[in-house]
Amino acid sequence: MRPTNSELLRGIVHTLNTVIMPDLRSPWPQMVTLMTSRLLEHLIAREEGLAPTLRARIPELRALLANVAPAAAALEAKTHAGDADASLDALVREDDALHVALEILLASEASRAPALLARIDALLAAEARAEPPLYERLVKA
Amino acid sequence: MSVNVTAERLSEIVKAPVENLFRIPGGFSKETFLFDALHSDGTRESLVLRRDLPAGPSQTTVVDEFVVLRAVHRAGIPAPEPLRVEPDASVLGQPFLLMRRVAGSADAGGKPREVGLDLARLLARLHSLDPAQLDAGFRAIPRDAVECADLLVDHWHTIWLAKKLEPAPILVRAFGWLRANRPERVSRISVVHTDVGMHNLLVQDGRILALLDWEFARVGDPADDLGYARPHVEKLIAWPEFLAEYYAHGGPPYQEENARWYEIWRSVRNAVCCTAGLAGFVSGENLQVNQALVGIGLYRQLCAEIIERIGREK
Repeated sequence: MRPTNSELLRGIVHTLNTVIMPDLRSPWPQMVTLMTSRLLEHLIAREEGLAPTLRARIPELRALLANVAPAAAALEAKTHAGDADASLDALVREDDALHVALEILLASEASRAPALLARIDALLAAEARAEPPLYERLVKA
Repeated sequence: MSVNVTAERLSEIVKAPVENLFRIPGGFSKETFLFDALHSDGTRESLVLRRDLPAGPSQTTVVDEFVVLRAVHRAGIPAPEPLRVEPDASVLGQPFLLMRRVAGSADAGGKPREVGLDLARLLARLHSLDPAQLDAGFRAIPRDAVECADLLVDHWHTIWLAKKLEPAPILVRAFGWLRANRPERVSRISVVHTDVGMHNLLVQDGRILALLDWEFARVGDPADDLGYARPHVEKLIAWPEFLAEYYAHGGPPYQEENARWYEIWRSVRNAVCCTAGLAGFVSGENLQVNQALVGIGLYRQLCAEIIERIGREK
């Protein structure tokens, strides 16, 4: 459907920034409008960047969890990472389920093993480093 | 119940006409308004109203903050004089406190060394108060370093479990790290403010007139305050000079290893605050967009910092 969600959102952001903002005189409404604009930009980033981010990290999460007993149940469902037709909702659900498994793993005795903990830390750090394109506009507000 | 703060409503509260009402932009856990009350004798009183947010991210209330503020003000710490607290949310939508406005600005104003030294003296005095004698309503007075840490970790872990909206392995990892690496020694059990920086100081002519925002004040490890203040201090004065002044006025020894633990703890606490604010937004209790912005953006940034810092501590 055209315009796409992103195209519509860009128009709304443009209007907020070029029509509404310049006419505001009080700091609080200015700040709220800026934050609203940034949230809409975040929606654009989600629309365009979340699915590729999840497709990239789901296989890495699965690989980490594959050999660890407390997390194995999370791997039973079929993965959506390589399915070009998978919806964003399906990817988010799978990603969430894998992160729940990771939480369970971290709370288990198994995670006391230094080598495994180092792998988990490295994966979490890599995830955190990969996310800024989705969130950086919010932080800058 | 959403109630706008207007000059008319404030006039009813202070029983005097109100002018120059101004909402301070920024601040995510409370709303702050400045205004002048015009009394019948012709005097003008500059006041500050600080109001809780519904489902506030900090999970603190001005009702408790008022008691702390009153105690430290009476003890001679430069802090705004609290005038009234209203715990009844029906009066203005949420509990609020009124305090006297203090002059000055959050700017060293060309006298960074004087401000740095004054901050050292202020913190030394704060950290020398006897928490048991202060009547500040502190819920717990820990006995040692481990209890200082446990009280914090348990409290914020409970809040996090109650508010979390989605899986967050970084915070599971962080709470585990905090429990496994608690500081073992504390140089003194003190009153700590935990948010000491230029953003919470009112300064005039090189002197600190007030330390603001006491919502997170509690009894704990002075390394918490010192570690947090250090980056702010180092923009004003060399750290050794600051510490020399701090020690000269009775401050306890600075334990850098403790400060590093508190640095990670603080990021975890702030990430939990972001989570709580976002939970309020999602539930509809507090639909202000700043809660969503912080709950998504700042939260992710804090999580990235936490996992990076834990990696550095290994």
